Amino acid sequence: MHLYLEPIDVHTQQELPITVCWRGRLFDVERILETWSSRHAWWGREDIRTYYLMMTSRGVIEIYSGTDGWMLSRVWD
Amino acid sequence: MNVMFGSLRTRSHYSFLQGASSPWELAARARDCGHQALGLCDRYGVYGAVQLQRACHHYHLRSVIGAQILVCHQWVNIVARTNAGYAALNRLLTRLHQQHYLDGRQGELPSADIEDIRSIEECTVIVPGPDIARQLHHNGCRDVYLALDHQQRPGDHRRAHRIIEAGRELNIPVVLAPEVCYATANDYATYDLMTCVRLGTTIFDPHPERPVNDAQHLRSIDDWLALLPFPDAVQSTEELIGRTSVDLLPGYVSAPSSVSDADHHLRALCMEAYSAYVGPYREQYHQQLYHELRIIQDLGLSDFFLTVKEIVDEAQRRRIRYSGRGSAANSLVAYLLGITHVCPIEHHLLFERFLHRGRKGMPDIDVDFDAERRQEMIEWMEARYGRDHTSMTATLITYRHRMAVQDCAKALGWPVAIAHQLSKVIPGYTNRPIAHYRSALTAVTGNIPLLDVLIRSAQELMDRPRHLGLHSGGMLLTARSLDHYTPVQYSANGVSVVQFNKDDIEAMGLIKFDVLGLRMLACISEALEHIERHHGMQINTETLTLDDPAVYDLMCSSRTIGVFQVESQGQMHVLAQHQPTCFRDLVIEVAIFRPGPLQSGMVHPYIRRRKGLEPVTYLHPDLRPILEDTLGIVLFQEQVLEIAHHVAGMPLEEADDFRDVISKQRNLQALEDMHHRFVQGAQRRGIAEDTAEAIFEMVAHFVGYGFCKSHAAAFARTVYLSAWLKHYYPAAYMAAFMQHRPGMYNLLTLEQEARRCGVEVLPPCVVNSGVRYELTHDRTHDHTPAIRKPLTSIRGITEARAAEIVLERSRMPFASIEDLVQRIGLRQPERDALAMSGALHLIEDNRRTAMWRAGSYQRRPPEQPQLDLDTTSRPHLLPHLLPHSLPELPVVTASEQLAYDYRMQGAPGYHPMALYRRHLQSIEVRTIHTASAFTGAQHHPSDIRGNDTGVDLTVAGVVILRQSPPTAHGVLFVTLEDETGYIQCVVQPQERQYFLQQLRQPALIVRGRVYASASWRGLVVRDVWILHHVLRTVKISDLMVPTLSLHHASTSLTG
Repeated sequence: MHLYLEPIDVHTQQELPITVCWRGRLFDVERILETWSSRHAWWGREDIRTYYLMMTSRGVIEIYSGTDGWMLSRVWD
Repeated sequence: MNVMFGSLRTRSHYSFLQGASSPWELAARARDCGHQALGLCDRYGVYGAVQLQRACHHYHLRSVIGAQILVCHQWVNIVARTNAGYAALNRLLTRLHQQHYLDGRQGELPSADIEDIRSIEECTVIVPGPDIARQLHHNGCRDVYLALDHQQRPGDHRRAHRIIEAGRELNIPVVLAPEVCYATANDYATYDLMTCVRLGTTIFDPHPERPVNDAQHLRSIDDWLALLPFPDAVQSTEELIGRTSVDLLPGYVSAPSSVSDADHHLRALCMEAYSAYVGPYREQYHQQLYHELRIIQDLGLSDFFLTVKEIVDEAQRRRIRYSGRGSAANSLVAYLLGITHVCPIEHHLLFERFLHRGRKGMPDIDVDFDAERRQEMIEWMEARYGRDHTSMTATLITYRHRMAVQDCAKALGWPVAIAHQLSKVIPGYTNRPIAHYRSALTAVTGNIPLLDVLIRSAQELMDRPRHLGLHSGGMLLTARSLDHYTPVQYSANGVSVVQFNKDDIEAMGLIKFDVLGLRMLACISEALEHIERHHGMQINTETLTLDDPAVYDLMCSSRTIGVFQVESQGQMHVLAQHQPTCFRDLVIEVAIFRPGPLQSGMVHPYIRRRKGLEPVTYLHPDLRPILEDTLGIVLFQEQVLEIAHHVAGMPLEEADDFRDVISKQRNLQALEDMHHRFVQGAQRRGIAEDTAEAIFEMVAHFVGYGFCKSHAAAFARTVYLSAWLKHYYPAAYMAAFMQHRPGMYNLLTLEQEARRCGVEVLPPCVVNSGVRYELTHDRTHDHTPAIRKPLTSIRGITEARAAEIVLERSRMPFASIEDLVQRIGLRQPERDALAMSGALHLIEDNRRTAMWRAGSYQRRPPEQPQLDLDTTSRPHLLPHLLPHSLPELPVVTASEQLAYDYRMQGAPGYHPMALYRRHLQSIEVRTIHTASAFTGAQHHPSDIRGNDTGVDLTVAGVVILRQSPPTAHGVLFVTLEDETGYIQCVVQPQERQYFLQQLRQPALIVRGRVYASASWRGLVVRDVWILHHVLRTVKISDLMVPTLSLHHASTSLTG
């Protein structure tokens, strides 16, 4: 498993990711395994994130949508 | 979905920093979410149950009451299904709190065990996980439910599935019951901050107990189903809610005891007292008595009155002094039953302030008892009504400005000292929002973004409960056992306290009886005992006529140090201006010096009118009968009520609400509503709008806490008694006063006051002193006895040790210091204390020698052989000192004696300023008594401070009082005392700022303009010097040859 924290492009349907594009490669979402959220620094530049742990065509990845847009968090490779 | 759904595992702010919303906020949110019920489970308590039921009633929700406790170290929710279940839950909570107290209140509250859960009846247990469910299930616990939760944390989805599987495996129903800690997602920040406050950490530090997101808020059923798609769980939730029905708001009063035909019994008692009355108000008594009895019976309060009567009868039987006060003194029934001592007919007191048919909730009957014997009364009540029927009422300590700012600042990472500083920039009593003080806060922190967070967060904390406190005297008496209503927990002192405050208790239809301790009553009782013992007179205070001119002369001359309620310098000043001559004046005197009249600026107009300096006018003729007694000024709560009733036409119930809103002024919206209703009501009665507005303005200024007239009258009686005792029996009274210290002055001032009254104060002495302040004729040749200070007045001598000394010397006098030490077994610090204080002077008249002998004494246990004087054989011990080996020591000097007396007794035998007098005289610093020579010219009508004498005076003294009340708008009042008297120094804000450092010192030299008002003298300060700076080049022994070098920033003392 590797931690990346890189911006990614995500195509959504009904607010749920269906395709992820990272470094020019496409990941088709097969199943969302779990979602969770976090909210930090309410006293300053608040950071609200929604995480998605997903089974994709290229394996399991974890992404999140936050203040800085969509980010790739972790990849199980 | 249309089901009876509701959140079952909700924590409110009654979990004390473990929940961020009130039951009302939660209920409002539940309704917005489409819920039909709301279940509250606060931690280890049902503190919010009454508020929950009221809120749910308001929002048409079903309320579910429970509590969250640890069971086998896991948080489990127990929900009461019926009132019997509620009682069972209360019993369990009481037991856990009791155990916590017995364990020394260390750490978290104790965990309940499986047996507790198995035996609890009529309750449902909701558990958060399969393990605890399995444990309970295998141990035969019934009515167990598994709670489905999803807090949007990693792994929650899997955990939910495990719950469903465990439910199937164990055949335990699963309910949809996420844990909720606040109403909306926006409350998350407050909850996080509260968590940091509770954990003593900052928002910048991670902690496993801090929330990671805002998921723990109330959501609609669909939102929860989106996270937890298990419709069966919703059905189980509905079934569970459908099975619960607890009602804590019966809508009627449950009297503490039930006397058969209480109405008849109460009537008979009142008629008996009425028959014995032979005064001039017989007809009025008759009418008023029937009027009151009808209302009391209609409201079902006869039992209540009989219970209070039983309690005060017991106090009488035990000869415990008591005094009914508060609004109860408006009642003739209370007066005839002997609960209060001021006749409401004679003093025109308004019964409706106490009780009327429209009154919401229970009336209060407050009774002050001799503070020293209050506990005796409480114990009697516990024995009489049963420990499971009596307990103290709680006070919810809620966040106010200062505490909110301080706690928030710490949680936001400011150091403790800064947090403290921040809290201090806000006044102690204010209704303004915290943002109003932004500039003052900025002065401490600088203008940084975190300050906005502080202001916002602190405002969010405002009015939320922080912890449970103990009501000062409210005792709950119940006919059924307490567990039917509330759990009981224990204060740090072991006092049992219920989980509801007085308002909630009232809402439950229960009766609280205020058992208050008043040290002044203890003082009066002891003074009467002294009088009986030393003057052979038994004084019945009930028969005093309250009209002795000598007593009023004492008050008019402002010699009121030690007199109840009127001993402050401010009161003395008002007394001098007011010049009370009768009891009615005294009632006004007590009421006038209160935040209400002071803030509303009604004191000076009243005084001016009384002196004839301005005409008595009324804004409208209807006000005349209401305000005539107080010369057109609003001074009493009753007057506010009467104005609302007679001028604005409000029914008494509404008028009482009006009075409440006006007096407290906390709810600005309610105040505005009342304003509108008042003006409209007055207009309907034909009063012009601008007049109605003016009347409202006058009444609305009656802010803060003003007394009700009945309370002032009850207190005025005690004022009179204390002044009477001080005037006729100063020695007895001052001895009792020093014993109980019910006032505001230190011992030095009290001893000086006794001397000013012609009473000698003798130092403590092991040969003559007792355990308490006593009177003695040993040193006096006239009828006035002297006061002998007790051994307990010596720092370090406990009451037990003093009693031991007294007992031992009654067996045989002490022959020497060694004899005393050996027989009592005094420890070294006690020996030093006795010697240094001079208490050994009849055994050894040289205090230095006494100190030497006491200090060098080594006690030899009787079983030990005599110590060998040869230290070589026992090198760790010094040789034993024999009396003949003592050196010849010089006697202690006056300054040393002064220092020793200060240190050991808190008060020297003579005033310290006397020591400096010759030196001060040489630099033209006068005695304080000098001020009394100046009376000034004709009083100027606009200057209520008194006469400007046109004289500047320089005096020096010890600071005995420093006051800066909010009503004084920045003026500091410093009272200086020297050996000739005391004087109030008025420091205006500008001078206060300029002499800030000097004014903090314990002894000062001040110069200012003398103001005079009858016997009162004040000094409006212009210059301040620190006494020890002026005298620092002078040794005490050099006082006879003063050499002074004095400098001041702008001026010199002599210049």
